[in-house]
Amino acid sequence: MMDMISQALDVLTTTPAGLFAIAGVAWGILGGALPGLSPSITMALLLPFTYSLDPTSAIVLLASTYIGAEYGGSIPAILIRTPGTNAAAATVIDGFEMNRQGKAGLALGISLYSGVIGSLIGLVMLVGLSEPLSAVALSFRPPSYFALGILGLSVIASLSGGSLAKGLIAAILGLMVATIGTDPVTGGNRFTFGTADLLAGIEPVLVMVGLFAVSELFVQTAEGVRQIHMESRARIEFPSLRLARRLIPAQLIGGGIGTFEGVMPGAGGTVASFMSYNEARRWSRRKEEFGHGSPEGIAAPETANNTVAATAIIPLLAFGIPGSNSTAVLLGGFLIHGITVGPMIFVNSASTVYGLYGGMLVASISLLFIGIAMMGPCIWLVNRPRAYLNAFILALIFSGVFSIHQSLFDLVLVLIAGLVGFAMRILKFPFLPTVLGLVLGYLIESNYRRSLVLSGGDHAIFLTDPIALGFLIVAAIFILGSLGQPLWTRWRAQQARRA
Amino acid sequence: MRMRDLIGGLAAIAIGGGYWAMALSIRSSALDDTVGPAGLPKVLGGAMVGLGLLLCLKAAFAGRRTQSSGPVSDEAATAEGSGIGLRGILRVGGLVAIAVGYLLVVRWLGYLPSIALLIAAVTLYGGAPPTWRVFAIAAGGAVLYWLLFVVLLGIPLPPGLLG
Repeated sequence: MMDMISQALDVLTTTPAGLFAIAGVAWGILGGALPGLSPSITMALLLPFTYSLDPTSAIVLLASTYIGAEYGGSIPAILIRTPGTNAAAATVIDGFEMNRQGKAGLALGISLYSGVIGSLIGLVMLVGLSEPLSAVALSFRPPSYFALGILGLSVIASLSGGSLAKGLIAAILGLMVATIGTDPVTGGNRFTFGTADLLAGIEPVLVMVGLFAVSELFVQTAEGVRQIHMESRARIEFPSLRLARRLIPAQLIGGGIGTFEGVMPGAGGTVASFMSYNEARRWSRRKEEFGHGSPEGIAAPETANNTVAATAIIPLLAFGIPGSNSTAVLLGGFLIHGITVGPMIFVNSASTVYGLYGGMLVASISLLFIGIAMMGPCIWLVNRPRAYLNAFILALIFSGVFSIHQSLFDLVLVLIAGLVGFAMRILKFPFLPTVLGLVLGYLIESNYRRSLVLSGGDHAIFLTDPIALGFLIVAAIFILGSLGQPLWTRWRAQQARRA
Repeated sequence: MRMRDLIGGLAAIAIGGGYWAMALSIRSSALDDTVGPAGLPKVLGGAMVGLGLLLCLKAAFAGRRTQSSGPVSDEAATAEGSGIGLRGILRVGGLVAIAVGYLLVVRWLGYLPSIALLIAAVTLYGGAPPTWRVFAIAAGGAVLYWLLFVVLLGIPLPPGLLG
C-alpha cells in the first residue's frame, strides 16, 4: 500500500498528470453538459491528443474526462429538463422539479457534492478490488485468455437492446475488422488489398472516434439542428450540514449500486442511476417527496453514476475487458501507448496504474471546485448555435486524427467508421459489441490458435484448463441469464396481473 | 414486416458473403497451424450470413412489438435511433461531401485555409445565416486549431500553398 501511495505521489509530482486530471474534469463537464455528447464521445474526441502525452497523463486525462462528464450531464438535466448524458436521465425527475421550485442552485450543489462522494467511493473500490482480481489472472495460460475473451464477448447478450442477433452481427463486424492486417500466428497478410496502410491492421482508436463521435455528428445533421437555450442565473449552493446528513443513506445506496453495476460489464451508469433512484425511494422515510423535488432523488443517481465512472475501470484493469463505451475508449488510450491491459499491467506498467489512481483522486476532489467554475462556461457553450458547435467538433476530429500519423488514409477510415456507425444507429444495432469484437478479436484468435498448437489440435484443452472452464461456465451463465431475463420479467408481469 | 431489421439482415448477408469470398482467397503457408489464417475469417463470414438470414426471417414474420420503457443500459440507449428518413440521410450525404472535399484539398491548399473552409462550410450547411460572422469565426477557429496543433503540440500539419 505504501509503495502504491509513494508511486502515485511520485507520478503526480514528476509528471503533469495532476494538471491533466484537472483539464480532463473541465473538458468532461463541458462535454457532459452538451446534450448529444455522451461521456464516451467526449473522451473519444480527446483520444488523438493523447498520442503526444506521456502514458500516465494520457490515461488520467481520459479517466478524469469520464468523471467530469458524469457530473456535467446533470446541469442541463436540472436546468432545462434535458439530460446531458444517458445516466443523468434519473436526475431530471427531482432535479428539474427543484429548479421549478426556485432551488436550482441547491439541486446543482447536491448533484456536484454527490458526484464527488460517488467518485471517491468508486476510487476506493477501484484501488481495493483491481489488484486482487488481477492477481488471480497472473496464472492464466492461452486457453484461459481465450476463455476470458469469450467471457468479454458474452456481455453482448445484455447489450443487444432486445435483439441478440443484432448484437452478434455487430460483434462479428468488429471481429472482422480485427482480422485485417497481419495474421497473429503465421505473419501472412489478410484483407489488406495490397495497401501498405492496412498491413498493421486498423487501429481501434480510429474506429471508436468514427463510431462514437462522427456518427453523432451525422445523426444531428440528419435530424436537423435543434437549438437548445439554457436560461439560468443559478449559482451552485451546497447543502447544509443537516441536509448533507440526510443525504448519506441515499449516497450510500448510490455508491453500493454504482460499485456493483460498474463491475458488471454492460450495465453502466444509466442502469445504476435508475436503480439507485428506485432503491433510495424504497428505503427513504420521505417517499412522498420523490418526484416532487426530493434532494435524495438527485443524490442517489448522481452518486451512482460517478461511482460507476471509477468502478467500470475494475474489469478493464484486472482482465482487460471493457464493459462500457467509456471504458472501451479508455482502453483505446492504453493501446495508443502500447500498454496491454489485464493482469500483467500491475507488473509491467504499475506506475501508470498508480498514477491513474492518483490522477483520479485529484480529479475527484477538483470536481468540487471545477464544477463551480465551469457553470458559466457550460451555460455559454450550450447556448452557442449548434451549427457552429458541430463545425468545430468536426474540425477538431479531423485535425486530431490527422495528427496521429499525418495520414489522410486515417481520416478516410474515420469517415467510413462514422458512416457505418450512422447506419448502425438508424438500423438500431448496438455499438459496444463492435468495439468489443475489435479489441478482443486478436486476444481470442491468437490464444485459441496457440492453445490448439499446445494441445496438438485437441479442443479438450479448453475444458481441462480449470480457469478456462470457469470462465466459459460464467460466460454461459451470463448469456443464459441475459436471455432468460425478459422471460422472467414477462412471467412476473403475468403473475402480477393474475394477482 | 420490420423494414429496418430486413435491411440490417440483408446488409449482414452482403457483408458476410463478401468477406467469406475474400477469406477463401487467403493464401496458406508452410507455417500454417491447424486452424490457419483463413480459419476464423471463414467462420465469421458464415456466421454473419447465418445471422443475417435469421434477422431477415425475424423481420419478415414478426409483427410490430412495443419497446419496454424501463431503464436501459448505456449501450442500448446509444442504439436508440430516431426516425431518420431519406431526407436526413441525404443531408448526411452533403456533410460527407464537404468532408471529402476537405480531404481532397488539404494537401494542396494547406491546413490553415482548408480547416477554415471546412468550419465555414459545415456551419453554413448546418443552417447558420451566411453573414461575415461565419467566415470570421471560421478563420478564428482555424487559427486557434493551428496554434493548438502546430505551435503547442508541435504536430506537422500540411503547409500547402502557405508552406
